[in-house]
Amino acid sequence: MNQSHVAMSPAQAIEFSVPEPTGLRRNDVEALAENIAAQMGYLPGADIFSAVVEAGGRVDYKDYWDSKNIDSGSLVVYGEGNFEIFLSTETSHLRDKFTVAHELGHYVLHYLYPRQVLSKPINYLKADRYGTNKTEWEANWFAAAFLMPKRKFTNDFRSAQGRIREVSELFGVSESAVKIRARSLGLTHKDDEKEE
Amino acid sequence: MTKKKNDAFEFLSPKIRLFLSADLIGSTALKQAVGISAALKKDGAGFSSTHSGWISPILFFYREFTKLFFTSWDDERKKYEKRHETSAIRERPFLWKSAGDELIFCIVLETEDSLFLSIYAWMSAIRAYRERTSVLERALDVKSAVWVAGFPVLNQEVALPNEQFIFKDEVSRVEGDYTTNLMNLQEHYRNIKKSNWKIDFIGPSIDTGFRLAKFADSRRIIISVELSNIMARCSLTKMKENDICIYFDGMVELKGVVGGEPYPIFWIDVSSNKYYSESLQKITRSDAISLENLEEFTKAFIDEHKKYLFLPFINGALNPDLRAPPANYRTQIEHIAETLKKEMRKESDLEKSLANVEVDPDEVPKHQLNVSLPKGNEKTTLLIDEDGN
Repeated sequence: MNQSHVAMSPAQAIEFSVPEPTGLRRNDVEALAENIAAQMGYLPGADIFSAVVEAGGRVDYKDYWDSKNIDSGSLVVYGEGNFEIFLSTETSHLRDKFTVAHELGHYVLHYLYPRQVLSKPINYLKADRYGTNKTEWEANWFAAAFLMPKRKFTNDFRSAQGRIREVSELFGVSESAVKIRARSLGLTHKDDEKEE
Repeated sequence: MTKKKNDAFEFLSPKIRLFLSADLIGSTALKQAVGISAALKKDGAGFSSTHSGWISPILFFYREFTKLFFTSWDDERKKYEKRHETSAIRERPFLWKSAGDELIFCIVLETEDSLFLSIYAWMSAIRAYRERTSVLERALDVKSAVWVAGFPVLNQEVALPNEQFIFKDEVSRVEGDYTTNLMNLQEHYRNIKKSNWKIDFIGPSIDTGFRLAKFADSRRIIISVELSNIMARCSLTKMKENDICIYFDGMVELKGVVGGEPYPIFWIDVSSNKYYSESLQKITRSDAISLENLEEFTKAFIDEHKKYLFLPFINGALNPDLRAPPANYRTQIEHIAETLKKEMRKESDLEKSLANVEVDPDEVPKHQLNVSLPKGNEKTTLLIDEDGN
């Protein structure tokens, strides 16, 4: 197929696909997330923003609380290696890191995976910050495994004797993310989480 | 009775709060004057006291002034209710902060009546305190500033974790950002009695109040432009009924306020010597401002600085003009409520998605997925084919 290299403004009308569930099991999504992290050379606790830029992403900010802002899009994919992630101007850095990993999950699971593995003709993709279907769960699984890969997380959590804050600093994620991850890996139950 | 649209988020209902600051005059000098030398033993061997005489006048102020204001406010409310045969005023003033030798009280204004009775009770408390202390040897005089702040647009309520809960599981959201704060406020107001949060107020109107307080003296209660505007719009009857006159004392630059441009100093007379005060006013030609002029100027000032201020309103005011919020105010509040609902659902979904399905750390994935991550294009333009795909 001939391609003409035409510069197009993202503002121009484009037909965007919306994320569709992959139907993959959580373990498969997690394995894929760890594989992608390895391809990106991303190590737990490192700077996810630079890693995204390396992969052709751009990170921008939007005020979702402003009534003038009617677009609640959080990810726009224009092509492989060409996507834009929008973060809220009003959230903390730790929450933002999880959001970046979540949007990266949409990019991999709902754009690259259907194109490369299922040969689906998706050209452009747009995900919403307030999406509600199964794709959000899949992107959350991806983000948790990308930022807190299960083997390393399990080992480090045990070495830190379950001290939440210590683990949160190690992986550069919020304490609540550590608590949820530890619970889902069967490392703790809600009643026995340690505080420093 | 119809339910309000944002009942679920009580803290998003428009509120205007009145802040009343009372500060001791000369307390620093008193502390310094009787400082360490008075605390030392005569023979120079160690200390004979911890406070050396300055603490009692300050504690007296804390206790007496607070008592006088609350008593005076209750009296005024009774008078008001008797006059209007109603018991409409539910919100009471409370001590918001004590900072050094300053006490700051706060009250949510339900109607213009709660504004006037609070101001009048405040003036009565200052005069009564002065009268009571005039016979005491070491008591100190008081100065005051009063201002209003509108919430939740322009100024904000903030939920601060109680120290004993800060690292507990119940307070999982300790990140400091707007989104988290709204979620925490929701948690607080849902069950105030068992709340892990304490509520504070921040915002530009409050900063302005603190700056204005520097211009107060024993004779003048300094009032902010927004408060002056509401008082002017309330009605002449109420001002006369409450014997309140407002004076103007020029424009000053308040650091960081309205972009550093000159800000008007309006004040209310609370001097205890009426003869002295009136004769001073004659020679300084500082007549009370007419309410028409005050309303016109404050409105023009707010309009001139609309980047920083908007015309204040009291949500439950009896006068419809005072009830009207600025254009788009309600739309913005509704948008915030909607966005908050979505953010809360997003957070709850995140927790459900990660917690409900346990991951077996030793399980080998069933599929090997070969997804390769392309490197980023150097240029961020789009590549489209001839068919426009």
